[in-house]
Amino acid sequence: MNRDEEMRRMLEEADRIPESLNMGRIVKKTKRRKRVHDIGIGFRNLAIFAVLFTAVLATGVNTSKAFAEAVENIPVIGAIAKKLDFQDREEIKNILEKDKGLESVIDNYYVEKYGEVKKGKNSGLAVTMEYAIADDNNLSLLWRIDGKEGMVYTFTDTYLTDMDTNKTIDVNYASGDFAKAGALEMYRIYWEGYHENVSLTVRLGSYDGESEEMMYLDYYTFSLKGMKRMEPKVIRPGITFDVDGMSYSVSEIRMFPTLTEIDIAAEDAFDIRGGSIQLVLSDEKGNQSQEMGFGLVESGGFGNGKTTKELTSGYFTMEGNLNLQINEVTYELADSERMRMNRFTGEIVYRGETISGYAFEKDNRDFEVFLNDGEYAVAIPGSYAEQVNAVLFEAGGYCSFEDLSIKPVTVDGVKYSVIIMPSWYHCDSDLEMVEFGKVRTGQCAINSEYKVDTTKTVDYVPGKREEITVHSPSVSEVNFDAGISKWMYVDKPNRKVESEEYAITIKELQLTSRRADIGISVESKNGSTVENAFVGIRIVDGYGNCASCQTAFMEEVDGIKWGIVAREDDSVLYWEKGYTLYIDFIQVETEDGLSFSETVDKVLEVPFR
Amino acid sequence: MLKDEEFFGRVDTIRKKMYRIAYSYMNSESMAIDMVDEAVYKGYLKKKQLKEEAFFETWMIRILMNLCATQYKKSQREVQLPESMEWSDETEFENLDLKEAIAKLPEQYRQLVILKYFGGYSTKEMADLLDIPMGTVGTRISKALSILRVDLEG
Repeated sequence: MNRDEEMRRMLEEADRIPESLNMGRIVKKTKRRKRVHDIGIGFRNLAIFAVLFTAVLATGVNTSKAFAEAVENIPVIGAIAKKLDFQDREEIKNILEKDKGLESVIDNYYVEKYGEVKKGKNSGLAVTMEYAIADDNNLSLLWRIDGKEGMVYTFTDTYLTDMDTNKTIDVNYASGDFAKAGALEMYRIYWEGYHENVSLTVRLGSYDGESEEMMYLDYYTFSLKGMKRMEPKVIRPGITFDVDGMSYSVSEIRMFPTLTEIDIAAEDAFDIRGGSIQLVLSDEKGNQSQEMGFGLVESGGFGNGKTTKELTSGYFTMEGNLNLQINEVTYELADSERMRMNRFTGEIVYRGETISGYAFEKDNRDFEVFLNDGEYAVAIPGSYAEQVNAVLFEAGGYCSFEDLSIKPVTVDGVKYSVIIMPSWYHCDSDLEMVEFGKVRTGQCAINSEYKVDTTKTVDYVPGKREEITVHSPSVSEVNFDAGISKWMYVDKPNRKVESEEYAITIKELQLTSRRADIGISVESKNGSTVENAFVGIRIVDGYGNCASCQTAFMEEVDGIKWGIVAREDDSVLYWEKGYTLYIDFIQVETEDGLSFSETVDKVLEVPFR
Repeated sequence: MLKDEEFFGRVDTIRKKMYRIAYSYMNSESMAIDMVDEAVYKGYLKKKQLKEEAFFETWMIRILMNLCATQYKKSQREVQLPESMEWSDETEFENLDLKEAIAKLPEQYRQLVILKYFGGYSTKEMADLLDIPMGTVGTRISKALSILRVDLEG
């Protein structure tokens, strides 16, 4: 074969475009990575100061029947989860087959049952879209397939169209477990905001466990009309805890049917440049909801504000008292030299706060505060309450009642207007949190049968403030147990490595258990200005673990170009025995253009000093 | 700045070309797809930096070429091939498959062969892509073909 013929064959080969180069997959993958990137960007360019610890915050969420009954038209945590346990497929099957419990529960709580069945043209497989649960963050689909024994199925591509506007809906990310034939499975689609009427197209994929082959089957289209917008239940636990002099708070938890968002803030204003926190939310049944992504914190967010973590379960999938476990907190300071952190051990017991209250109105009319099963009611005699729209609490500032209902009740023959204060009620995010007792869900609960426990009544005397001591049952204790000793190093070797055209100075390495940030300066020997650098970097710890042998795209900060190499799995790097740094090659962009892939024939070994 | 829809729409129009270029670099379907994915991701991250939308293709191909060059270099290291070779003796290319011969070309020639024959770019476009004069493109292409002893001009 001559060269021309060879070239033609090569061109033909290159023209055979693989099926997986479809835009659906590319868009999905790109957006998914962007999502993870957005979360993880906070790690860039940081001096690192790491503390690892374990904290367990027990946040009690009342799921009692009494409370459930007191709340009208509001789905309650646990009520559905008792019927719908996603961890146990068999149970769901039994419910569906025997007493139709799932349908009735879901119908009661405004989740649309569709039951739409579509058959694949080629495969002949019937897919049933049983339910769709929509909220502002995601669309969770419960589906089943009339498939073959021994095969498992999943959706591989997802396209959404708003049927009202006929516009494509951006899908941030979609995922689901493999479904066995006949089993109910959840497929979750993350989107930017709720849509009521949606046309959904998904592609079915089947996986043969024996041959380990994935087959791409038919596209299925479903019309999901009239989906309810499922509201979050908002819990404001106001938990604050200290670790090694740093204060953190869990300010708000928004629980959606199948997703939970948790706001966490670092309270200290000094120079934290980033950090990470890992959360696990579990319930009494052992269902766990873990965070998505890498668990990193947005750039700057941890230092001067709050970050939001997303966990993969919600009030349809959790039951009973919830336990929020903080497994790991890492925070990162600027300008840190090499540091070794002592193991953190200790225990912080969180106790209830002491609050006092008085009427806000200028007349300072009497009111009473009742405690009932951890819930507080502000009771104002007669009809006066109808004129009151605010009460000031010392610990929490101004609380508006504008959105709360007022209910007349009679207790021991005395008429009261009662405003039941949901214990999560949070006055102003800029002010101190008020803790009123048990952590509550969602909205103000009004119960005409409300019974006041008079033995716990606090009589308020105008002109005086009486303290109400609250030993909050909601946050009983915070335990920290580091258990693991971790290391952080910042090294400034200032070593120079020269290639034919460039001089590279290794300025600084910031080494944590998961990754290495490497700062270099690059000078061109011919005087050109170096604009960008792409550097092949490997760094190996003292035990031979490599921090992802990859090319680092360098970004410049304060004259130093920084690149990151990181572990992509869960394993840990240990730096106490030093490290070996490999600069495999460097590719530099100067004002004169790109210099492609110049080899730097050096290996930098730095035993730890 | 390009909106998501526009960005992916433009990617759609050049994805096959991107694949051909990546494939010719990597000689592997899976690696080529990885490179295209990576380039799209990098482009998506940096799309704010693209000031002239007219240069979208140039910009994306440049990202792709950088990635491929980097990955190619890395893969060479992994299989312990020589990092670069002295090619003063053109006859040593004669006994190689064309694929191998292209792979062994010095980077500055290889990229032009790939852009021209697998990307279908003109001399002017290649000069824009690589920020080098058109004359240099012509010289390098000519030199590359003479090394490979292929006559596909036209």
